[in-house]
Amino acid sequence: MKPERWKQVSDLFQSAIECAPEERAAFLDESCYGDEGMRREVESLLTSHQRAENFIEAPAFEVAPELATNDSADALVGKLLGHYRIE
Amino acid sequence: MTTPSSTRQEVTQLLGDWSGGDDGALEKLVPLVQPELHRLAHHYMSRERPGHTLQTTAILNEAYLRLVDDTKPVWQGRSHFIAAAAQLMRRIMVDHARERQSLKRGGGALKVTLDEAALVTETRSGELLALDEALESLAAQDPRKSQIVELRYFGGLSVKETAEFLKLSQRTVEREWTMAKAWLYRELSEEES
Repeated sequence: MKPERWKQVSDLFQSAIECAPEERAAFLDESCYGDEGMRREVESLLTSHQRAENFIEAPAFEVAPELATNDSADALVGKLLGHYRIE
Repeated sequence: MTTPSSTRQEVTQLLGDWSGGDDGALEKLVPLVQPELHRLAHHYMSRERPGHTLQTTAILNEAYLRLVDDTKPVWQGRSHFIAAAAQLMRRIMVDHARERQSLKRGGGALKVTLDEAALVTETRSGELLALDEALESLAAQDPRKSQIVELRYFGGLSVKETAEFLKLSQRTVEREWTMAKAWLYRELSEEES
């Protein structure tokens, strides 16, 4: 996406989530007038926004500490694949 | 166990180079910082009681104290270390996730013997790799949003800390974070469908 268009999408997305839910459709009608592609883009981001509430809110390390230490892989590797060593 | 002063000096110097714009310095930091992050992560995990949350920032702060010579003002202090460490944490976790995935592909025998915890790890590995890739695409479109996600998700920084580091208002960080989350979430759900 071209930078100007990306900026426009970002700005509209931001304004739309700051709108009261009942005013959102009217806001998009007006601000995306004549640009259906833009409207679809902003609407699909709004849908994701509603579903993404807890997504990546907890840091990666706190969710999957074993991927920072690789403990479980070490245990498996030691047992099953003697030639494969993960440090 | 104390960190040798030569390592401290090297880490401090490399961080100075990195914050001065030398991207290659970060590559050289990986082997120096990685063992310490490993060790601390391990230490914290064994110390935590079940149900207790681990604190990414606590680990990174401790790594900072152990690895950086704070008496030499060659660079801009703790926040730069945390930012570098966020990138390093991302690298370490993504590398491990990739190893897990290649192990899975490598041997049928392995799959049978995986216990439940290992299966969870398999899923997380796949998710982490997908997120890493989506974050790369986001960086191509909007580097700042991608960096905010990196600092928060891999460095454990709060909105306030992220704003301080990037010299942005908290409101801007919050807005960018919200959009980045929605965008990444969409990328990842499209991949699944």
